[in-house]
Amino acid sequence: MFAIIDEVRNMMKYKYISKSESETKTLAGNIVEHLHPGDVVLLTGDLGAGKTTFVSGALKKLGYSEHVVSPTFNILKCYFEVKPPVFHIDAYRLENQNHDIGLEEFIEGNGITFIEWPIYIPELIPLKHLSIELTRIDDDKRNIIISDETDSYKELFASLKVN
Amino acid sequence: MYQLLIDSSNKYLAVGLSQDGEVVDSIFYEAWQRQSEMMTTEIENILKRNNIVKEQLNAVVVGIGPGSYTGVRIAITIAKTIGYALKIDVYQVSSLALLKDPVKPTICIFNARSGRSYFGVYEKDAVIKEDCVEPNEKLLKYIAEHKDYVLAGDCENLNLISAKFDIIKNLALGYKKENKVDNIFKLNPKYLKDLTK
Repeated sequence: MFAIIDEVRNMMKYKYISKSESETKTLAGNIVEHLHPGDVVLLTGDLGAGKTTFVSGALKKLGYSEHVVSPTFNILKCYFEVKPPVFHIDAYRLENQNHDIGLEEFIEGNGITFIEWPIYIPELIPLKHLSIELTRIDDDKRNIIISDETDSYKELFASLKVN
Repeated sequence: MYQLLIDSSNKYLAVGLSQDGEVVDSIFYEAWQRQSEMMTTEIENILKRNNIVKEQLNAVVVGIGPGSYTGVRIAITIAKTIGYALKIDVYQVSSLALLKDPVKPTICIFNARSGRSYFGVYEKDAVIKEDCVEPNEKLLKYIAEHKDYVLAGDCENLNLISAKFDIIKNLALGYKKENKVDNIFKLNPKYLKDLTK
């Protein structure tokens, strides 16, 4: 169920309580339907909060059926087989590292980019982005906050409100 | 003898064959971020369909960037490997120069992302402006000041229209002694970006 926490002029913020991994994936699937090439989704939350589960749900909706793992080692994984292509970045290992490794070509590219640990690559994050904040409540339940500071995802938020 | 022509610095995959500067065959299409998967296969294809064996190659002409982070490294890696393995010469050409018009001065442009562009200006064999990376506003100002120049490359994101260009033909023209690499182990991509940090 959704609750509007904050809907001031330029800040959309919605809260969702997910009762299971499968509900988180469904939510991700509903969200990705409203995303377009060039969109960037930031995922924040502790280890095990469900960031990769979220990406996996989005990919599943786009038709990708294989197991999805976080690119913690690779930093970037590309899913060219889905449309639009999905780029999954895990910036965890980029803390205090050289960030000039070409990630902007994907972030500003023609796909949907999901970024875990965006805090470590602040200069690569575009102003327009969707934020997903996941917090663990218990083993299964997660508190999920979806927000957009630039009011760029009106259609998405309208659809979330209806559900 | 034949020259192998390759470039992958930006969104295109370019593989060609030339004979003393004249293009014999070419493979050219968009393959953004996927050139690494396709380039060696396409090199094999172009040799096979022209019944050419590797012993008939006497040089590799390669676009060395500037451009995409991975893209600039792919063609150079392949060129150096083939040059080393076959003991043949490698010739280097700016990837921007590959966009130039055969006769008119051309502002050659690639999207460098984050509101910047790579650009250089070429007229036939002359470099009018060395390759650089600049904020788009600066490039637009340069374009406004040089209205008689042809524009080629990534123009769409600047709301401009690119002229037609022939990367493979320009690679073939790059087969000349001033472009010859003396020591392939010292051949590096033209990064530009790193220097601006």
